[in-house]
Amino acid sequence: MKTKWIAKLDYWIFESYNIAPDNLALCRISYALFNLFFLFHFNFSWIATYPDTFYHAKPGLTFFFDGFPPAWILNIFNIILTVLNFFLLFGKWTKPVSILISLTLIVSFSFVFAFGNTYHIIMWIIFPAIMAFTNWGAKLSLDSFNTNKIITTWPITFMSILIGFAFFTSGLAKLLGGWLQIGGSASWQYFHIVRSKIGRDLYLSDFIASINNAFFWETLDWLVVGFEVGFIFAVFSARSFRFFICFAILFHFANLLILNISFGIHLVIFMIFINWNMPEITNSNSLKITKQKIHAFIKKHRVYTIFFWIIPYLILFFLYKNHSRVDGILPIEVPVYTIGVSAVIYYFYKKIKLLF
Amino acid sequence: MQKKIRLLFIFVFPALFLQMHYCYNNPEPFPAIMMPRFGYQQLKDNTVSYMDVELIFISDNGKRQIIDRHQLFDSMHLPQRFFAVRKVFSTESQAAEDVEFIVWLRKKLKDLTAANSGRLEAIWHRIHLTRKNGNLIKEKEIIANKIIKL
Repeated sequence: MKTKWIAKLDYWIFESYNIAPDNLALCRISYALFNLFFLFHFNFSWIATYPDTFYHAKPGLTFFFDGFPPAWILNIFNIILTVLNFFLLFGKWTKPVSILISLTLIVSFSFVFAFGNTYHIIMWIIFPAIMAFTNWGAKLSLDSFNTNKIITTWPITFMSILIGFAFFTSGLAKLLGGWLQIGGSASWQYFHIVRSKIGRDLYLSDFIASINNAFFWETLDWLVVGFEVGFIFAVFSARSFRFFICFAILFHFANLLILNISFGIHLVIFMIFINWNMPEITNSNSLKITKQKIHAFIKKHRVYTIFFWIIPYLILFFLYKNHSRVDGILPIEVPVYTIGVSAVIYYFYKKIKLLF
Repeated sequence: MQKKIRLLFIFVFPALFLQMHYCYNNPEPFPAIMMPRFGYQQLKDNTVSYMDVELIFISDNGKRQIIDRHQLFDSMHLPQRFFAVRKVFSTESQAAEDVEFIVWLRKKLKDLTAANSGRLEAIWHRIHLTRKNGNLIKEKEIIANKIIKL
């Protein structure tokens, strides 16, 4: 017989992060589409164009090599990733394909990181391997014709721990760095360093730079630390975590406007925590189009409306990918993210309205 | 199966905290895909902040031309570019003695500037940011200089 705390633990692990199979399928499709459209980003053959002077192996796979692999090996990685992502997109052999994508990305990025800098892409790399265990190929896939359609949600809980922990460590570093001391402002320093050194001065940057209010900057320090450290505690309640995810999207959006840091890939990962589905609407036989029917249609198909901002984003990215970039940011990203963020705010507005 | 998953969840927290403790108390390198990374710990200083900026010039027959690192490392992933500059042009770097690197650099610079020979100069500036009466004051100081013969 289960004790009370095991029952609670089981509820948290296996049930609290419930999501509709359609939503999971959309996450899968979005992930694959992003990979395919960003494949220029995941084109690893550039590594071979640099001499081994740049090679700084870190503990791990690259320790077993003396330098970068030849271009043909890296091209094989590109081809493998492209093929695997097409399989993922159409949902064929979803589970093994998802795990293989993660493995190929780990191997490929080991050589990217051998240039010396490990950057924040690890969540994107491990995401499909973890999601493979949800059975995210249960709907909108070729697999759905011949395999079971039961999904499991413990990998989403697992993902929440990793995300919560990543935010927590970022906040802890700031906390230990003295961000909560009164006087001066770490946010102010960081903002001006990024602005002056890297030249990230687009969108709201000029406006923020003109703010000389010490209270404003000090409050920012406290808000950032509180938000990032608090993430780890929110993990234990799906409702709190979803609110934190909403704030995380707004936080990253603010970062995009102020610090000009792109966050496209994280938006897709955050999507798994949002259950876009609403209750089913009763069908009516009348052919007359009424306001209620339009509302009902939107409600019923809300899960698909997400595409209204994913697909334009991908198309625009594809069209603009060769245009000049300002430190990895495309000007077109701002309006597209704005639509995405508005969708999230709308979702939470609905949820909050239900609470009261 | 349910028991195994439960155990995974019970052990994941200590494992993550142990990793964090290790990263926080030891200098790099950490395993290449390890998170978290505390390399960018942001310290708060009440009065002054500084940043190191490297400027790269090529001198050819008395003509001095600035080199944009984004052009020099154009095919590289963006986050790696700053790191690459620091690695190969720092004063401690032995890259200038590496024939393979010099050949690559010469070819790259020729494509960018049409310069055939000359020398490459990397100047490291430290910019001090001070806040006085709400205004930002920048003071530039040269902290290192490296010359690579092409």
